[in-house]
Amino acid sequence: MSETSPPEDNAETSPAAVPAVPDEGYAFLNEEAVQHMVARAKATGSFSELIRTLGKIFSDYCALKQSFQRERAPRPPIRDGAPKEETRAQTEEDKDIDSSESRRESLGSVDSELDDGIIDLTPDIDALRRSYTILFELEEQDGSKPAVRPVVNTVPSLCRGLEMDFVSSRLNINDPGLINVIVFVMELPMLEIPDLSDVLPSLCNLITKFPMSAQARFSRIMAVLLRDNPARLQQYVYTVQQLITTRLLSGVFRLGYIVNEDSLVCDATRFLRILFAVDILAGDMEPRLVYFVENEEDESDVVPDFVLNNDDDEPRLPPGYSKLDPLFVELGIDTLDCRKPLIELDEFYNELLSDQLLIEHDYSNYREGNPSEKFSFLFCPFILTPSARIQALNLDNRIKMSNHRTRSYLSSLMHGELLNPVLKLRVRREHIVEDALVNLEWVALENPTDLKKQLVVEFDGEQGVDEGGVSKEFFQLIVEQLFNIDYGMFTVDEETQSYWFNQNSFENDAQFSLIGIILGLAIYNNVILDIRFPMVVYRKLFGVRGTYRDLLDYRPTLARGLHQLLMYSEPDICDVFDQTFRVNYIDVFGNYLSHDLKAEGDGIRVDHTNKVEFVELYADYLLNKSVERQFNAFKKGFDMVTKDSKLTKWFSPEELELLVCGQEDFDSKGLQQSCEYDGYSADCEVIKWFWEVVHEMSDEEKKQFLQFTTGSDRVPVGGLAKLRMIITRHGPDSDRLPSSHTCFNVLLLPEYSSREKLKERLLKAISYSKGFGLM
Amino acid sequence: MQGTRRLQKELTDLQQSPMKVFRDIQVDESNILLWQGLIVPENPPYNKGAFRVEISFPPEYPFKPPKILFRTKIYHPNVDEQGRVCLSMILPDNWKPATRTEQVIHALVTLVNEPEPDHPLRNDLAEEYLRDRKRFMKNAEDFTKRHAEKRPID
Repeated sequence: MSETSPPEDNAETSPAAVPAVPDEGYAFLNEEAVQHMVARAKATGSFSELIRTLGKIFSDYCALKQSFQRERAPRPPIRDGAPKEETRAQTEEDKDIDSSESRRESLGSVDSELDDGIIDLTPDIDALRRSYTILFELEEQDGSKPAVRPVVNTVPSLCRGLEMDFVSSRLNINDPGLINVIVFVMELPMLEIPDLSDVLPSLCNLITKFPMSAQARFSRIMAVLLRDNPARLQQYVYTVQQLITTRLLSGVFRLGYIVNEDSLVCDATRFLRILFAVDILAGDMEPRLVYFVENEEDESDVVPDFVLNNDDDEPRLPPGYSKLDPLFVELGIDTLDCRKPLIELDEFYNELLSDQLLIEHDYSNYREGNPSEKFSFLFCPFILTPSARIQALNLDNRIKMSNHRTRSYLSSLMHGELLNPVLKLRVRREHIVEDALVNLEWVALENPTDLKKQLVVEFDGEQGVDEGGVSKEFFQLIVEQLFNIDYGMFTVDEETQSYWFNQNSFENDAQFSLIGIILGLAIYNNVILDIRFPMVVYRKLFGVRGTYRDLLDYRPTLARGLHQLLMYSEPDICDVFDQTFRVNYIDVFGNYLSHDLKAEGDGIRVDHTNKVEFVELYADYLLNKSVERQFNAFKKGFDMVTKDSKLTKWFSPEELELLVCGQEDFDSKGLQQSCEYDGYSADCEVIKWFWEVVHEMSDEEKKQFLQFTTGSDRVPVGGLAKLRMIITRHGPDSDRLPSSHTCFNVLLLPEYSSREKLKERLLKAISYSKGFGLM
Repeated sequence: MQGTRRLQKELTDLQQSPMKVFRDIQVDESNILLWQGLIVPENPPYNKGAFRVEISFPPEYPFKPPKILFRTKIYHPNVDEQGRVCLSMILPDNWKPATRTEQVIHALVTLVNEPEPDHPLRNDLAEEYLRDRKRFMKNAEDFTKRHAEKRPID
């Protein structure tokens, strides 16, 4: 810091440690300027310069947009190899900036800008953050923070001014400086303190006024800015969530408070949508997947005439959020394109909002379909918890299947006079599959909308009213039977313990359709099923085909082997792998069979020119082609229940899995019960410490622990108790880390001398257990 | 008879130039994925006998690793009572498709000859091996004499 000089500062004339005040004040801020101001304020005890300067910069869009620029900023700090510009006069530099910015503006599409290093016209967030830290550490004698007031006083009016400029077309929405405004506000510390409570709302209000094209542009630039820094995105999301939550808490006690009419919450949610898009864009994006072509059927007979909006007439877009979301349409992306978002999707759930929301009210706004007039959070479903979304889904179904031909239906809905029709199913216990099949097939044929009704099951010859318990039992019994390996419909993968369609199944398609129907019914009836499909099955239900990337979850070892084939770069690939386009497999009866991925595949050797094609065809065969008949029947059944529902639009495949299977239960107590010891006993002190530490672990850590000891982070069917882990004494106390034999679920644990040491060593060991990088 | 080309070739190569430490390779005509062979260790205490092992290959070989099972009982810290052995080279995480079966066998024979008590599957044997080598050697030799197969005569 001492080597650098602030703008306009003449270091030679101020020999003291405190730099002099520049004559005309600062035209914009950078880190040195802030450091100098803070130093002077500390030296003189007067904050007036600092307050004046902050106030000036934060109320002046031009000054703000020049502040904290990266490399191209004037007077970059002098480091090795001093830049030449420092001799130039300030005014010239200003021009230089303006011209370079206007040049950049003309660069054209954001995509090319991103690739051309747009980053240099975005602010240096780290420097900004450091500067904020020292600014907001300052305190006046009464303990108040001098940096707060100028920000509070200026940002809201700056945002209003920008809004006016925008409305009167004086502001180009592609102006790169707007990103500065977003970042400068989002990075402010203590946004949640009451003094600053107007700052973030004014930003949300401004940004969400801009057209989707501009919001899409913000998303793209922010994605570049944040893509290496998930913690920062997390913090931005958290800040906005805090705003919403605080607002709700203060509004709850007001009579007649309706969230949907609170523009602050609505704007914040829309702003959150930009961050949601950032999360997707900055995540692990995959080239656009091939979507299944959906069968177009005439649906006119199932659309009741009270439908007021046109959301059933939407153009057929790929499935997923994008179908609903104008921002995603503008961006041309879909959440399904993203393998892993930058931060977890549940960071976007707002529990309080989901609880507070009058879902009927919100839903009726949604039906009106005009978010600018009547906001519905279902336009931004990511903010709602899955359970709130399920409520909305059930509501949506009930309305769709209702045959009320009155337009007043929505109003009766508002008064809680909802019909609650049921779907009755009568089965014999000993013929449960046949009876369910016949009955449900009949319903599907005659009146498919009935499948969306609440299910009421009766076992033949048994008394008992189904208040949920009987249908739960029904689901459980039927799943047990159909998924039984001996039944022949599904196989269980030895490695991942997940089910897969038996490609040699003799069962007819109807049985697979039944499973699909059962899956759909379970979702609508809030029943959790004990079935375990790899994620690719849920993705396929959303209409995307399985690809090589899905093998990692479904057949991890094979995926690793194929990955090595792709990575292999030596010329002897043909000799080493000696692979052709014929692949082998063993069917459920132990027969050794082969399949040609291409015609005459046995004659085509895999080499560097065609290895990618080989892997793609192999994955396509395993995930799609080999089970096409079975899967299509399964999906047909599922679609019968979920047809016309918003399921695939309001949920992601991961969330769908959660709806079907529930939260994975890392039941460490069960693990302890079935655990065996070698060289230890259950009463050993170190073992007691061990279990204390394991029970205290977060779910994420338990997952890592499972990965470390068993080589898989999946809980086996039947729970962790099925693992039968063995803890082996690995010598006396020492500094070595615990290790494992993943093949036999053996954990090697030295007899550590203290609980603290055990905890430290164990957590370290499991955090090292690596993932497997993808290309 | 079908089979992955590479496995077929590896088998032919091994049959044409046999290894000294792994002999008598038998492959069922109907199933090339299952091999049996006789490990003939050189180091005491295992040099008093020979050990039959089974190598089973997945149909996706070489993209997935083979598995190894001892069919002959052996007194060894790295082989459990069911005959399972933890060989790091063929763990799913470590497996490299370019690894050939011959290398896997060599690694296995090395492990038999030189136990790794630091990564035991049978902790009791590992402790004995570390603490009372003499006793371990004697027990292992007795055990080998009692349970192992006869060594082939060259």
